[in-house]
Amino acid sequence: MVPFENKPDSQFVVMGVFSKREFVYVTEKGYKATQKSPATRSSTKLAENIHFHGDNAPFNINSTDNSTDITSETNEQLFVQMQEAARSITDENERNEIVSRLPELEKARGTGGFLQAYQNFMASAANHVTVSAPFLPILAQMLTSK
Amino acid sequence: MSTVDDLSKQILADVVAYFRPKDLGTSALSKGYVGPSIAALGMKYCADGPYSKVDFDLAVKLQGKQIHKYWSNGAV
Repeated sequence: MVPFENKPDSQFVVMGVFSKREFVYVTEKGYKATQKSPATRSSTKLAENIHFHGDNAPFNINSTDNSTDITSETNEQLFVQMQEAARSITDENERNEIVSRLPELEKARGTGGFLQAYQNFMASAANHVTVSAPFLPILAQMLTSK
Repeated sequence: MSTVDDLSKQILADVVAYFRPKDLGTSALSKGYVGPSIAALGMKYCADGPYSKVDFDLAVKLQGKQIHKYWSNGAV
């Protein structure tokens, strides 16, 4: 086998073919368009989120009110609702124990004894989380706002 | 909202989502940068998604001046 020898002045050309592809990039107008959406949504929601209720009604402009307003009126409703929920417990002994804890819990509201009353109630209601769960957020808030 | 309108917004959101992590400046929005390929976007929505090629082409067209198309081998 003999290696091929080029002539001194010859040229070797390699031709490559690359297919150009189509790309996109976002323009300033497009970027701005995507920024509009959240503002539009929040202004739409604003009207839905204005609520006036109770003595301590919050008034919010250009913000969403995520606070839970605990007034004495809602607290009374809370304990009435908890009584009703507790009455749905089928086990008589457990039902009576939980129902008996509620006046203690209500009475301790706003005092230093609320934590102890809360712990007693939670110990009694431990087996009935589905009954107590809807009330836990507001009870927890009472713990921090006593 | 029509299929094309909906797809059009999704495409724009995709292109912006591709732009954000690149940490490019404002000038890139006017001068251009290496964005996603139309073929890849088309694959996402037409081959792997529920849209037709016509929906996709119309949706890209609908974006008008919000996204800019260019031909390249990958470098601007």
